Amino acid sequence: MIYKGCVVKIEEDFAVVMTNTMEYLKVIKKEGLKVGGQIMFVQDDLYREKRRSYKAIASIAAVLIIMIMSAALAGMLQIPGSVSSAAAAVVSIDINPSMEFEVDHNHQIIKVVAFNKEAKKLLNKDVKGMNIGDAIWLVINNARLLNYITDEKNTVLIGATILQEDFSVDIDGLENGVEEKWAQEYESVPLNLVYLETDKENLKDARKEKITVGKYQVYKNSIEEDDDITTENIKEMKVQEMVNKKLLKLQEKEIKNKSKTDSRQQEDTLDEKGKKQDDKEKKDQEKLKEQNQINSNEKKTDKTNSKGEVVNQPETKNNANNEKLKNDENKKKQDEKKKENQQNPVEKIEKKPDVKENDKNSKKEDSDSGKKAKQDQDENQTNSGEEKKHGDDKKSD
Amino acid sequence: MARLLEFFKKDSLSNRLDKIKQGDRVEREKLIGEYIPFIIKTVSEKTNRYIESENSEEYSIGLEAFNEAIDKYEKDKGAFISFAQLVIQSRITDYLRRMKKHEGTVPISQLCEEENQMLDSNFQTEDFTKSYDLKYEIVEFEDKLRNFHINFSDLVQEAPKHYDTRMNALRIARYIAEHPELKEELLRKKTLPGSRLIQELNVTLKILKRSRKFIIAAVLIFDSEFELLKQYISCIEGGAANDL
Repeated sequence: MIYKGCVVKIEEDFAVVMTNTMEYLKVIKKEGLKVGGQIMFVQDDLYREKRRSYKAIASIAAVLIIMIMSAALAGMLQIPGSVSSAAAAVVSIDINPSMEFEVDHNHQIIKVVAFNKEAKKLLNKDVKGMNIGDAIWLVINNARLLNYITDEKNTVLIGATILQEDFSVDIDGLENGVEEKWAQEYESVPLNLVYLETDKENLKDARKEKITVGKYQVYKNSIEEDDDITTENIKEMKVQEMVNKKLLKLQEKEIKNKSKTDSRQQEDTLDEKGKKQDDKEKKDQEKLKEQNQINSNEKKTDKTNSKGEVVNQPETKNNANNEKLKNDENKKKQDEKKKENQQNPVEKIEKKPDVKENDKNSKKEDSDSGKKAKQDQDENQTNSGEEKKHGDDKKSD
Repeated sequence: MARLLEFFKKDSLSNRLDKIKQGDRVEREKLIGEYIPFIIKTVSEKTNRYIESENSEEYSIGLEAFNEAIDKYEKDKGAFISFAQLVIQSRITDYLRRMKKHEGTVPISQLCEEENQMLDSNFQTEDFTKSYDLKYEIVEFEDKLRNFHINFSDLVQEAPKHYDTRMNALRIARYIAEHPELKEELLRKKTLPGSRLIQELNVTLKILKRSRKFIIAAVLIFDSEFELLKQYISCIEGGAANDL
């Protein structure tokens, strides 16, 4: 088939020809084409748009894929290394909403990571630049207002990772601050703060699994006992569920140390409380002794400890860092304690309600419980005194 | 099946070549006629230019070369087609070389370049003005199409593919061009006067819709001073009439 036609238009990569059968056709370009010129051509000279567009589409698709891949790769690379260099510590809060704050040397928040939608709701204000204590309070207060903290679910898991060794978070101070405010605002609702500390390694792993450091530490603690636990489970689980499933029971010891409480046991009698407190005192002393032993075994002194700020820190750190032997020792102790706990459910009661009751009572200037409260406070003081001593011991070591 | 057919074809081709060699002139003409697209393609590929018309030098050289190939072909030289291709290509190469040589003589006369240019333009006057006029017409035609938001690429895509449909569309276009009120309506509304055409020409809305741009383009040509383009289309219409 021969086409004869008149060139009507020359485009960039083809020419339009009006043929002698009044067809408009596109032909490939050759030398010497000019508008108005007559040409003869055959089927092979027809410009095939499809082939070209295929190529174009293919190349565009290829470029897109490469871009997406590289973006994804870059994203993957960023996840583990996403902790900014200025961060001195990472603090996580889990209720059901999970979030992490990166904190700089001045205890100011420099980065916020929300791990779920609920967390975004809680962070209604831009907390960047806020003091960490204020931010924690803001979050907890918001959680209360949005009913994430209720009578039934009242556990808040706070995880912390110290990234720079010369930095320390005054967790006790923070928690006391939060608790005071809480007591002022919501007297009737108990609050259960659980504090966990992890090291840098765990932070990396937690970032990989996309869970908060607090939850990751819970995971770490619980895999030793229960193989079925996966990070996925932990990720989905609410903190209160963890408590219910006793995943957090390892922390009861800490709760005790920190004088936290479980609300459901408020109806206990004062006598029992007294007993319990005695037990506790003993226990605390025992624990301090144990710690001293451990610490003297290990001649290394811990900076945070030497400052005498946080009691638990050395222990948890040791747990995380030290040889198996010590872990085993600790485990045994923990097991013992668990047994004890099971035998004496009363022991689970902790000080928090007491403090609250104290507040109430002291306002009323009621005698008995007020005294108790004082006793409690005294106890605290003695504890902290001992802590200091213990710190001094260490220094002398 | 296809292979079998090819085998038959090949067989018949060599048979035909035998016949031609024995002096069958009719058969020779027939064979050349059948292979004209092949000749055009080969020549066009070699020169990387389109052949301008049947009167062009390259085209006749191609035909001659093909004829020569028929004479010189022997069965032990391989397939006839590739042999013919070779012959055509070498003849065209010869021709191009000759032309170059001819061009090579130009620089001597370039001493009086102006004169030379004048000479050239004198020689080419008729051809030049004609193609210039056509070009001018086409550019203007394009401008007119732009008023209707039509460009040539649209026409390539939307012009009816079927010959009969195209001729029918041309008939519609001529009808519009010959009736001033219809033409007026088209130019004013920029749309085809559909209802009247359907009534008066017994065409369907589908045809009007599908070849809308083609019909408008044709009307624009009929309604213009594009004498050359008009002639062109008249030829086409005449051809169609003859066919009928």
